[in-house]
Amino acid sequence: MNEPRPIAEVPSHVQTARVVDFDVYNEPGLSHEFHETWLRLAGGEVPGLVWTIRNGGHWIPTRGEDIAKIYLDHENFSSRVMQVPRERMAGNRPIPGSYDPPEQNEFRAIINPPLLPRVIQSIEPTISGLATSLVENLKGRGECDYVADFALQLPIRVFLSYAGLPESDAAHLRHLAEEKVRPTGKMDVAEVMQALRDYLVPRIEARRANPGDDLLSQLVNGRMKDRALEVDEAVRMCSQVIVAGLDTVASALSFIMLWLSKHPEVRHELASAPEKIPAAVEEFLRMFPLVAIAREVRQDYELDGQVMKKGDIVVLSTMLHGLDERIFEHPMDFDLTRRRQVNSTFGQGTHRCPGASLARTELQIALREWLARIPDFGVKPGAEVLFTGGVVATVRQLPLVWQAK
Amino acid sequence: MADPGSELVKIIFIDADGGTRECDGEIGKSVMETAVNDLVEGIVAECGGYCSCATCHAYVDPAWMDRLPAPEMIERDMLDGLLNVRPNSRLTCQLKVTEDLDGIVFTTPASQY
Repeated sequence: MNEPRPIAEVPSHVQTARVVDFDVYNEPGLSHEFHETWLRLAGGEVPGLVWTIRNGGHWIPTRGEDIAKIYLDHENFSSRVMQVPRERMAGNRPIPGSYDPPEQNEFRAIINPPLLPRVIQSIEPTISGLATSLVENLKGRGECDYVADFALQLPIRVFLSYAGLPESDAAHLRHLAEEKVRPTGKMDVAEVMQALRDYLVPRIEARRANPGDDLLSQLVNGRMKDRALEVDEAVRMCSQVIVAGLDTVASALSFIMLWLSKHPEVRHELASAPEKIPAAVEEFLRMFPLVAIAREVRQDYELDGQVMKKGDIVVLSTMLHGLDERIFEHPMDFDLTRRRQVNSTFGQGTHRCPGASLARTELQIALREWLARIPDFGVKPGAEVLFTGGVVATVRQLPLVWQAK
Repeated sequence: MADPGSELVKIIFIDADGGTRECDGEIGKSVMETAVNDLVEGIVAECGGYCSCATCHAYVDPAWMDRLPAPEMIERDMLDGLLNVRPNSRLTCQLKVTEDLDGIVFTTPASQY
């Protein structure tokens, strides 16, 4: 994903004034100022819809309102293409992410129930226990790489515990999940999927023969309207559930902790009044969206005075919704008194993140348990914190230091 | 915003603290859309009406229960997984505004998450 991408020719239906050069994954600037670089694309007099020549050429709506509108409109915008350029979807059809209704609804009817708030509340003690033990183990060290030592550890452990899998599988599964979302080139897409299949199939079969109440059992024993899931479908569904819950939570936590490292007054407020953490998490979710996901135009569609042609690709930047100053005044400011308005951090419409309740709970607990034990911390002097763009943006490393007692 | 000439009915939302809002519901739209258009804070509706987030949960006044169509399977499955669910819980995105609902009362839960 880091090789330079060729510049695509601009199709004749694209109005010249809308053409920009912006690489949604590797734009220079994203690595140092991730959200600010996105905002610069949408700033000033820029049209509500632009066309970038990078990644095969595609549209980017720049206003939160239009991003929401497209998310909500699966009849005009298909999820078949989730990444750019579209060739990256070859041999990769995540369930349910890359499907459209009505098939998508059937998959979602299987995925939704085990991730709804009542179930998540019942596993809260487990999540707290895992978060607490991670912080307790780090506390005496006085420093860590927050990304590797905490942010990526918590969601994989929560998943394994809820899926009834041993904690010792964490490293292997994390490796595969990371290869899937951020290929290092050591394995190709087919090899990663095969490795996930090799890991999941025996575990799926065991849970079909002997269902438990764990997450994996619920997913793999789910039924489509009039048939059981095929094993391959179960593999693709479980893979997406695993992958979707790791980088997203890890990156959100890392962006939040980086911000908190520079805002001691908020850190202290949340440490001394943890009942404010849920509202703070909502504000952080608005401020630090991470996802840039694609849609394919299903039939010619006009937006902002420009026709997008059937087959064109649109990339929806959730960053440009949560940080749209037309909707959220002073969008980079943390403000718990804002009137609540929906943003697109969890997506909208039929694909809205089914794991939102789990994600919110993990973020709340992670902040609460950390701040209760390490209320004061900063970025290690001299360290440079860098980001990587992608369908899900990530924080590469976050070296934190604190006074070990 | 209601289209001029469209038929409106009153829909009342009471929040968890007892605050009451009387909204104009446009016939044919959903109860959720009525709330969101009128900025009723107790209804979040993160997914925009696709029965995929369950953040438009409300309790229908028991006196009105029988006048609503029974929830379909997809709504029942989502309701089953919510916190603070009661026998009169509904997802308001799944309820269409009709003439019969003039004056219906919903109470929103303290939190949608």
